[in-house]
Amino acid sequence: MFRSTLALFLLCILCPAEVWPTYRHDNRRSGVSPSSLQLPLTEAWVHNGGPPEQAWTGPAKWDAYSSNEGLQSMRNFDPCYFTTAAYNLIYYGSSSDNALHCLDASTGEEQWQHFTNSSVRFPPTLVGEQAWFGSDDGYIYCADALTGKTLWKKQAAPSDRLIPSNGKLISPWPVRTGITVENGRAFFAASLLPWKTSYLWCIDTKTAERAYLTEHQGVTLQGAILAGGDRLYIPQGRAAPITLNQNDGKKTGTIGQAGGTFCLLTEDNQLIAGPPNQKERDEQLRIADPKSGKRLTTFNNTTRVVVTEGKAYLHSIGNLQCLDLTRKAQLETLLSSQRAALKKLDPKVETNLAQIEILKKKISTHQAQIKSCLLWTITHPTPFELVVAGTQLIVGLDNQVSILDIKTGKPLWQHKVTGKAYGLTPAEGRLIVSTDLGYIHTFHKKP
Amino acid sequence: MKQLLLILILSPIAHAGLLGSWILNKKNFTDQKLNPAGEAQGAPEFDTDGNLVFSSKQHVLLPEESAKKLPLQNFAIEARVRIDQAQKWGSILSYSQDNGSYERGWILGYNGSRFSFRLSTGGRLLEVAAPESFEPGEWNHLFATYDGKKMGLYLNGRLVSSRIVTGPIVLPDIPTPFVIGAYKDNDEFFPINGRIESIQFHDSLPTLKDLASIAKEFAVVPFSVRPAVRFLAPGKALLFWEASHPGKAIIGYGTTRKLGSIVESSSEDLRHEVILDNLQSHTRYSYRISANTENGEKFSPLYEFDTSMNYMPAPTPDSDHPLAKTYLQDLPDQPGFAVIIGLTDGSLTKAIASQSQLNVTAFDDDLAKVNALRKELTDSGIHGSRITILYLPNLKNIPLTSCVGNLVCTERGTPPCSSSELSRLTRPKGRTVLPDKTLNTRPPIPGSGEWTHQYGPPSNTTYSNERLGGAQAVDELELQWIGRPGANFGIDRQPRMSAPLATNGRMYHQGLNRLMALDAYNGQILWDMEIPDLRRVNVPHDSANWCADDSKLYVAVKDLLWVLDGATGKRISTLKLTSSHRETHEWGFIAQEGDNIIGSSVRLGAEFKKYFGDAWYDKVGRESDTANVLSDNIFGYSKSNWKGNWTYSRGLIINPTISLSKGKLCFLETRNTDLQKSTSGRESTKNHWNQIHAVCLDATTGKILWQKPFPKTLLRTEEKGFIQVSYGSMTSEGFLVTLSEGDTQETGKHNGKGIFSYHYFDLANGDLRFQSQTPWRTNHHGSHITHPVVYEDRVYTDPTGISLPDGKPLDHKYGPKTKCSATVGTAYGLLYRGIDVSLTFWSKTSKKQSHWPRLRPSCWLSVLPAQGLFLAPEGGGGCSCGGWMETSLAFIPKNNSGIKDSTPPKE
Repeated sequence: MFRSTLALFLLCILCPAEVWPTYRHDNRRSGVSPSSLQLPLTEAWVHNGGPPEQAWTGPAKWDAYSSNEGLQSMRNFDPCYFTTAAYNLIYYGSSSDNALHCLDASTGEEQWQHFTNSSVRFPPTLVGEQAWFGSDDGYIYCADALTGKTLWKKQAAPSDRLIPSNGKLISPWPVRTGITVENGRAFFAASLLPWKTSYLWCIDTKTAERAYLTEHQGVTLQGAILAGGDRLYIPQGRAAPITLNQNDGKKTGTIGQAGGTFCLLTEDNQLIAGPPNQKERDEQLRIADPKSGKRLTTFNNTTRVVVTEGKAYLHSIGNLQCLDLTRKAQLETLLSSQRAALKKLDPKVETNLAQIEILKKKISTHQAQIKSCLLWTITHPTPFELVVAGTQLIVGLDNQVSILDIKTGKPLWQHKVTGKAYGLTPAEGRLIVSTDLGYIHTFHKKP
Repeated sequence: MKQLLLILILSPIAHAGLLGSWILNKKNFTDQKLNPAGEAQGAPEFDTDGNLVFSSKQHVLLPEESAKKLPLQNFAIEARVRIDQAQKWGSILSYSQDNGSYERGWILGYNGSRFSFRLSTGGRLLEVAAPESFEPGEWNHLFATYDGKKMGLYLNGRLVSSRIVTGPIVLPDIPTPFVIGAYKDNDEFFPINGRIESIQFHDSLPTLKDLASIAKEFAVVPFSVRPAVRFLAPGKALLFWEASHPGKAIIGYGTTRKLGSIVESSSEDLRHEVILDNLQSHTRYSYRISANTENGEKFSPLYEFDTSMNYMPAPTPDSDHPLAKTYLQDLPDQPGFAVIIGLTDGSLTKAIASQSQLNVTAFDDDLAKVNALRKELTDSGIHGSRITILYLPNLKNIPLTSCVGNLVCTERGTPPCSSSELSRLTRPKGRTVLPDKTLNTRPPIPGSGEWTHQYGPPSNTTYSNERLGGAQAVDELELQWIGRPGANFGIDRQPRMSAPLATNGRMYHQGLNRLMALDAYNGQILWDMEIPDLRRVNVPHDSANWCADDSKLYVAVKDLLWVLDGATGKRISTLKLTSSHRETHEWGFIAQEGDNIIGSSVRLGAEFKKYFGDAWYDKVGRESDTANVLSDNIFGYSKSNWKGNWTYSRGLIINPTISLSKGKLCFLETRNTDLQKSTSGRESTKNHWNQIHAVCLDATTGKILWQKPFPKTLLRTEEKGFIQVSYGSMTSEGFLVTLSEGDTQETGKHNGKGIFSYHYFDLANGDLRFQSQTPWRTNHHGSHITHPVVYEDRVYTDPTGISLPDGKPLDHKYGPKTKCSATVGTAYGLLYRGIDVSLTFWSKTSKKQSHWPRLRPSCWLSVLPAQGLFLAPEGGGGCSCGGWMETSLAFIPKNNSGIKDSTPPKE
């Protein structure tokens, strides 16, 4: 179960409509908001933040030796200005002008800017009336969410040192994980170079004092930290995400079945992440059991998924579809055990034959049942992002955003945007869409 | 479903040499005459031109018996085809089985988007493939040839790939389909999508006249100087070329291969420069040039450029300040970093950005002032991109690594930090404005080296006298900068392309038909250019396609040498091959020293271009992987007037042996006159290693200073063995030839033994001082083709080397190296791919290794110690397994960085 922090809880209680207080809504990075939007929406305003300055370039065109074309980016964690939203305000961090921006949600007017010394790659996490965010300058900042006034800043890096990077200056220990607030504690990492020590911080959200600081070798911690159960999950891009104990920050392992910076935790704390590596010819997301690190399910030919109430919404080879994930996982577990049992039975032993026949029938039945887990499918272009708002599935596309009925896939609404819609924030009755060209489109119910 | 059976006609044989001629059009299907027949396997559909449509599962089966009657060598297959969709295992005509290790027969087709010809002489199917992709939907002419010694593939009348193969083709000994328009064997079926107008099977190879006629028919726009695209500003690029005939030219370009936008060149003479504006960012564009020629209107091939590589700075609003012009005076007009310590009102900061291409970073200790300026600049859309204002409470010590600023100054009357701090932040040859407003230029870092050629200096020592501040271990270096170019810049890690270069504070790096200049000290991209015809690979068996001096970059592109301004990338001049070779050769070797430019001519098609699939070029003993590119001549130009001084032409010069030092030019050449007549310009050592001579010329006059027959090799003999690679290097005293020799059994199969052999000629008179050897460490992953690192007192190959001048094997090893990469030297150590297959530093003093985890070099030479730095531009991209960093970096010796050791963060 999702356990929000007290602060986040209070924020939700205090605000009449559903807020979006952190990257992808919550610490599972679920992308699921319980409240539906009132349709049809109309465009309220557009803000142009200038093109994002991404931390990394795109991937190689191909692995020529392996004749493997169309390699996937595994470090594309900052393709647009993702937003958070509350108090009728919208927040985004800019990788371009190094500031945290606050916009009036109704008008798009800039309310305040809070500058840092380098790129801000994730939106702030809203903790009560505070906005917490990290920067490539190696610091984390806490600003008054309503006024932008600096409340404090804390150095996450071990030194002030700055180095050139893509025309900017960054710390060799930038904060590229965002800030994850869970159970009254904030988690963030200062990390970049695998040959230097990386630092995971845990601080008290009330006092901003350190709860612990752990050192990690051989890692590049980048991408939003996830929290679920008693664990933290930190993506690394081209290397497998690491898991840590929330209580003491000690590393508990790596999830070899995962990779990339698109990660989310399901409602029962299974990690969906991808792509697992660049080598796969098909784009893949995998579900891994965080405890064992084993792969549970693979979604082929997809880069984005959203899961709510046991159902997964994803795209594969021209189709957008809804899967009964809970049922599918149960059946696959059954199938797996039945196949293992079948393998153990020697068909040359006559006494095994009846049992083999029974197992084969069961396998056949379960295979058919797995097919029935596909609840609906529609022809649909490949999305860059999927989120859920109540009974609506919101889809970010190339120069378009659309909303579908979550139960049927039936189109409900769509609108043009400028660029690829990587960031979707349904909050406070609005839909905020962030694109790779630096635009933030906001749609609301017609007054 | 009822299958409509139609007979495909074997058309009348036009002459005795024609063994088959299949014309796949509606008329031939309808007439149903002659035999042997073919049978369409689906209901035939014809397009408006009458050509059989190959789509879905359509293919044509021919009688298997007719395939068995075809010759197994000395034949050519000719086809006119239009492929509409790239795919794996595309086949135009095939008679083959490919079942696990059982590979037999032959296939003319394509693999992915490259035409290919494959055949088996009993082992695996061997392939020659076009280096460039075909354009879907466009007609092409193919000739696949095999004479029992060499297989070749001609595309539109020009040889695009060849390899040495011996013996007759071995056909399948199980029933096998003989097929047009699909690959089909026992367990595989891959139909194609496109058209095949005709296929002809000849019992002889095409003549030069045949090929010339086809080349004329398929001619594209002839260029005097081929096109290139240089980025000018965000959204803006310059497309430039020189036509071979005056006249109008039109450019079609767009984000898809259908193009869409059209622009006409304003020039009607030979030189064309067309600005393409309003280009989308991060977008791959295709373009094609059409022009009237003596053969009518012709089109160029479809070329590409990628605006993801456009890192040019955006202009800022006009702004003036009385000091800006003075501070910028005489600084190169190129991007870079300006560092301003202490603000007044920001006007100087804005003026410097406005009047230069510099990226301006200003530090100030007044937060209110900083934020006000930040807000103003953000509102103008330039904060963080062209001007960045940083808040720093203590301006006495700037926490910035040293040697970063092209310009370092203050806005204030008195700088808030010491002049030594200002100087520390200034890069070598950069400008410091001292407290008394005098302009100071920082001298080069003491002990820094220039990496101007493939292997450092033109003497090919793989060592540029770089001292790297005495560093001998990873923790003695600090990161100087990190960032672009990334993995999307390059071809791939595998094909052993030309090394980056670094001189005069700039680093040059080559990618996928593109090159880029960066500021070595801050990573700022100075300019980048997309040149469709740039690519050259397998440098260990050839020579690099570029070199540099302080001010210029010299790049071989097809038959010309482009002389580019190092600061801006603008083309200053183009140099031609010697007159007799201009139609038949390409520019091969390139080096410069003093006033001399040295070039060579290699035959068209001799250079290696392949990078897709197996293109490591180091398979031990494989004949094609011992092949060197050979030059027909070598010549000298003068830099002072761009005029040719001399030409030397005696034998076939082995490109990787050419080295130049202090006015002397040394190389090996084969004087086998038979080979000179018959060579394609690329020959295995088995073919070319006889009548070898070591030659030394005066590099200014071309006069022979000495020439000596090469002594017997130490492992390879006339009867057996092979030479995997041959390298030439020079010390102050000698010309060192390093060979990698492998032994074979009598069957010709490699027996596992191999050595590096060293042959040292006295530079004064050519006398052989010594021959010696050291054993290979291993015979794969590039170890056995290691280029030597040559110091005055010793030579390293892998895992050890010899001492100089006596040639005795060293008493120690370095490494171990792991996987592919080259080794490069500093005064105190060697750098290579070692621990955890990552970049590794070995100390000459301690003999110990240290490494940077997850940093991967390319499979050849992609990192260099030079300019007082260790430069590691991205070279590992494409390696899809492993958690590589996929980024470019530079390291500075800690003792030059001005950085103290960091300690864990404090509360």
